[in-house]
Amino acid sequence: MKPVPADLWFMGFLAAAVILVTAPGPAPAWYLNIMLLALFVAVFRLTRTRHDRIFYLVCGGVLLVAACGAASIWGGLVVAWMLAGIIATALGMTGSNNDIVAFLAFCSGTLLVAVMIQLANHVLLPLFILCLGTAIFLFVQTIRDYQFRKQYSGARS
Amino acid sequence: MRLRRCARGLALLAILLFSSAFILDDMAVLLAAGMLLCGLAGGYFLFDRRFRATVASVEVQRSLERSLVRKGATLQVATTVTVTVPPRMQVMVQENLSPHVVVQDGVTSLSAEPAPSPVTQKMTYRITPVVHGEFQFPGISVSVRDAFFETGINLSAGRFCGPSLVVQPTGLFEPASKRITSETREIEKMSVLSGFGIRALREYYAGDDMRRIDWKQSAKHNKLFVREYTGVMNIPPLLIIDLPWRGDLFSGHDFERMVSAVAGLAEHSIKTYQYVAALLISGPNIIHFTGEEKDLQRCMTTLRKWMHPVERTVHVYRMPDRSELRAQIRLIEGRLLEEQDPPTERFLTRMRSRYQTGLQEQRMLSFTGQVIRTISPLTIDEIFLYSLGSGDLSHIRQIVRQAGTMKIRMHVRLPERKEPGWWGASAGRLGADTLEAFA
Repeated sequence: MKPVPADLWFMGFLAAAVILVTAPGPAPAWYLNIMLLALFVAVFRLTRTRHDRIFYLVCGGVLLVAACGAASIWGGLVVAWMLAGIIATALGMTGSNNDIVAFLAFCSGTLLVAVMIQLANHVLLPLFILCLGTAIFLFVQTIRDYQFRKQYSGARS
Repeated sequence: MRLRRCARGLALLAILLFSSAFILDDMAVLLAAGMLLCGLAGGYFLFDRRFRATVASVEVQRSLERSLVRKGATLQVATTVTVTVPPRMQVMVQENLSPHVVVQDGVTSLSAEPAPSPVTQKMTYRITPVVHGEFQFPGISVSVRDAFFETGINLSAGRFCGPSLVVQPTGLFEPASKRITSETREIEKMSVLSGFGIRALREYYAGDDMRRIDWKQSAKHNKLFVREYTGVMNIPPLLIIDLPWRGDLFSGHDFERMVSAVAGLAEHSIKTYQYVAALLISGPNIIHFTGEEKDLQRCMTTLRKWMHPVERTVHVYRMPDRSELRAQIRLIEGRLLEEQDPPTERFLTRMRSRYQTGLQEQRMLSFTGQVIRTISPLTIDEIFLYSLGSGDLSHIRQIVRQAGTMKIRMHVRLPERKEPGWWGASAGRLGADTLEAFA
């Protein structure tokens, strides 16, 4: 019997998560989430052979994350993890321990973001923290990159 | 580091979501934007780690055909690069070349695909130094890319550079040397047709031709001796191929026809005369010389290797030699004897003075000396010169003149010209025995 591919497992979990998050909600949101899920499944099926498939999957999935996040932040977070799993599978990142560690690191990062959003009353503060974190990350990377290039260009450190 | 198209799209999407979250004050949109940001930052971090691992794994070994060359000589360089390529990444390695050299042909870049073990690849190319001095090979540049990011680095640390190449200068002129005369060469081979020279004496064996008995030696040693005469062999022509400069405007079709004509003559020469001699030049630059090539396949390989437009280190433009200047002075002096008009007389006197100054300063071109040194030891009685005739033809006139001095017939082959009167004027200018268009 042929084993079920990992991306189909993630897709199944994603569909289940979307239905679970959507079911207790009012009628208009229910329709929207199911329509977005159908759209994502269509994108998933139709872009199998495209080299830029990741972009379409992200574009389709991010709407689903936002729609489910409107119902429940934790539900949106689980959908985001499943989406990341699908994308990682599409990139061929399910083989090694390093890939699993990278996936878990992504889940941890998004969990922190979700906790921060859950604790905040308005967008401004978490947005500021995210922008500041990104700026610090880019600054540190720039310094590391400079030192690395200096080492390999033959300059004395 | 640069974002590739997919990552640029995702970054734009993240910015749009952040802006929407800020304007709408919507936490769900912020969660989606945060997820994208985490994905991009994580992807960048992973890419950076792999990039560092790739660069750390690079090993370079470079070897030169020679480490000491003259300016304008061509030498082969072989660079072996070993690199470990992580999964889902592509690595491009490019040789950084010094501005002191030009690449004649070969491969100076390579790409490596992901593999579990280190990938070893080799780049082989030929360079021509155009500036004299000592310089090192300045290393390599490595470009790494995955689906989202790409970056490059110049590896110029000590272990990626070197070895040193010493390029000696070459002058445009050289002191006039004593004419090296070509000597006759005994062909120490037996042949159906005998020549007049005696190759050896040996004892008489039954069946030898009685007419070959050397009676004087036989009487001296009280034994019959016979003469072995030298063989007579037809002398193959020397092929001179004038390769075009890269900057010349020439027809690719003409060049292909020239290659075909040269290959045909070389093949004919090997089949008829058992060997071929070929001298490859490009303007006043000697590129390569093959003395006596007897193997047809090797000859064709050599022609394939060298026959392409090359970079010239020396250019000449309407360069007259001493005999041409003397001829001009004689012509003016003849005119001066007949001239009665004072302004014309003054003009001719000034012209003569200019030519005389030029004559005092004019020396023999290095190229001419090299041609003489190359042709003199060869036993040839005719030369076929193939050229596209683009640009200056001074170097061809130099070869034709030297061939004339050595009593060698000179046949120049050029592509067909559309200009009326070109052939007549050019034949006169070049001074070749024959001037034809190659088919």
